[in-house]
Amino acid sequence: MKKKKFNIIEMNKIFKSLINTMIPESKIELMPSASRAIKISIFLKNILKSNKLKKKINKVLITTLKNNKKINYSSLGIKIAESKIMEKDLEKYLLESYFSSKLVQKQLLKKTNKILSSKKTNNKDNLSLLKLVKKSRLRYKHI
Amino acid sequence: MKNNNVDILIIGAGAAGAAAAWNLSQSGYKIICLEQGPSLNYKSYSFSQTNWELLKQKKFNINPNIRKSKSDYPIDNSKSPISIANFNAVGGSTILYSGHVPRFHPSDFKTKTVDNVGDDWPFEYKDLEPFYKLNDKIMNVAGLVGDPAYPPISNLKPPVPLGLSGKKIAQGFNKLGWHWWPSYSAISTKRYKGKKKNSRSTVDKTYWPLAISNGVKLRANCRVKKITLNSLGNVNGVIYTNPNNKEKFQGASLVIVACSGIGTPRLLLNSANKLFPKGLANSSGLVGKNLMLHPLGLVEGKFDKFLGSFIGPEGCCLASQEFYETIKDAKHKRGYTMQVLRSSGPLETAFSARKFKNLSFGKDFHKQFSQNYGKTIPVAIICEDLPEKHNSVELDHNKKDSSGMPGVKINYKLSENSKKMLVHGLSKAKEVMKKIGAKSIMSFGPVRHTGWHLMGTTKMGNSRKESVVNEFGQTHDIKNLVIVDSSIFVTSGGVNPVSTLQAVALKITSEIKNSPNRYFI
Repeated sequence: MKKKKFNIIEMNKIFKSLINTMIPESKIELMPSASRAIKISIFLKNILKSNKLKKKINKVLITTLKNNKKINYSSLGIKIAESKIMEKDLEKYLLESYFSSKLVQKQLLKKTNKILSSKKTNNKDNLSLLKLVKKSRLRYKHI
Repeated sequence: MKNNNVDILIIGAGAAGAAAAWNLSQSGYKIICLEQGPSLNYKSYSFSQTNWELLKQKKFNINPNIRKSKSDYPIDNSKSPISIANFNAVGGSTILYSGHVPRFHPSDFKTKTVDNVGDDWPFEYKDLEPFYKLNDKIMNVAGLVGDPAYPPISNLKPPVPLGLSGKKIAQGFNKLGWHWWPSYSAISTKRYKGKKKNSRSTVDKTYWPLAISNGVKLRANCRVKKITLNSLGNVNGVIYTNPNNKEKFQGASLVIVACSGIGTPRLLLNSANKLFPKGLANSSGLVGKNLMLHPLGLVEGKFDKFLGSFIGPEGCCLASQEFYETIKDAKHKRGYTMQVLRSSGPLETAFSARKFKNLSFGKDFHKQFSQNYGKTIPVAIICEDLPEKHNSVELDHNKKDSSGMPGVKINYKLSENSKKMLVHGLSKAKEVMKKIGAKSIMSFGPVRHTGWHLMGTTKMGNSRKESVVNEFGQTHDIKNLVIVDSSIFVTSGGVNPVSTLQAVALKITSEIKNSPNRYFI
């Protein structure tokens, strides 16, 4: 039997759902899904640079497709993500791409500012903290 | 034939080489500095870049064996629990340092007298004080006056803000009645001379522009392979590879080595000749011995509330020196600093949470990430490392750099004293974390990838049998060969060594200016 080969559009669909299952959108945490933060084509290009990984991806795709004959590509990606079979291979690439994305960093900054704006303190707090230390004995030895 | 000889040739454009070049640049000498690494645009290594965490994993990794750039040399760490960290470029390791620049304590210069361990330096804290002060000015050191852990330190820029996490842990130290103080930081907390607020003072931005404007010639991508001697046994120049990897000779009347506690012994050992078969200036046999690294322990407390603990310069928050000096009845001699750090950025937080199984992919990914991000306070235990001859650097002829020069092997064992000190430090830092209600505490040490502080491998001293250089930085064996980096340290202190090594470089080069006959042939 001839082996199925996946074209770039099919691969994009599979990987979009795969990484979105691994890192979905969170409305509560105000964070975007992986595919909103990462350009799938660049992500794919990066991971396919490794021949070992390329071979494993093909093998996993074909096996999963064989076991789920009438499945569409998006569902195929979800299946692979849920099986965690590629998790160890992809996590480094995925985390690096996700947390280096401008969108993710912007959201994290927004969240941080929102939380911290309610906790603003001034420099006088430092001084009251330091009073105790200033009054304390010397900590260095006079030689 | 045109004579290209210079009066002074400096090898290495890092923290020590830069301070030396600037100090000497004011005295009318013809000076050249050769640096094996490139000259970088400061924007390329700015910590505020969006992809900085990614660059830190690769191009700007602290481990030269991972970076593998043309300017790096192979370092075999397989016989050491701590691996060497460095950066080779104009600016040296300050390109990647955190900017935490505390001084040594007066007792650090007298450990033999005070605690009967290590050795005494040939000079004291008070001799170095004016040079610390000068260095603080040029490096724009920020901090707070009145620290009871030191003799008075003045003229500091405003300290870096503690942030919520700093304030929280300061309360813990207060509850225990232990010393703490805002970090001494080479961070521009005030706008100065057009430089951006909150930028780190790396020496390519501080000392080098001043030295170059005074006429010092700085040549990047030039690796010195050998220091050469004339027939009388005096240094007459160096053989180096130029940016096209071609070997050249540069003549000089005085050579100053500033290549770090690893690079300096490497160069001297590689410069062995008939007169010095064991390595240049190595009649004592101590070149490459007594390597000190500051074993580092890490304690991280995790809290329920968001502290934004990643905000601020990463190594600069506050430090406690409650246990810096030898404690009566303790199992170890000398002591350590508890340096409160900022927590990691998002990528490192995610990696670390994955490693410790605190983060899983899927629907709970963001919730679990939020439970880790900005909610931890890390404390580093910086242990004073005592000099031991078996801890050493040697040439590795099996692995060579891009110019064919041998790499190095590190032979290092943690001493019993360091092990006991680490245990003490880890337990004390955990006590602070408990005092401020940490939900969970993680601790371990020594941390492997922390070998930043490279000291002791060309020890300074009065005896030519027991040391490599004298108190003026001159090698005992060769009058016009001077070393100014942290390889000449006699002991390591329990703090980051950069301000001390720069003060030492300023002290030695001031001596060259004041007493040239001592050095020049």
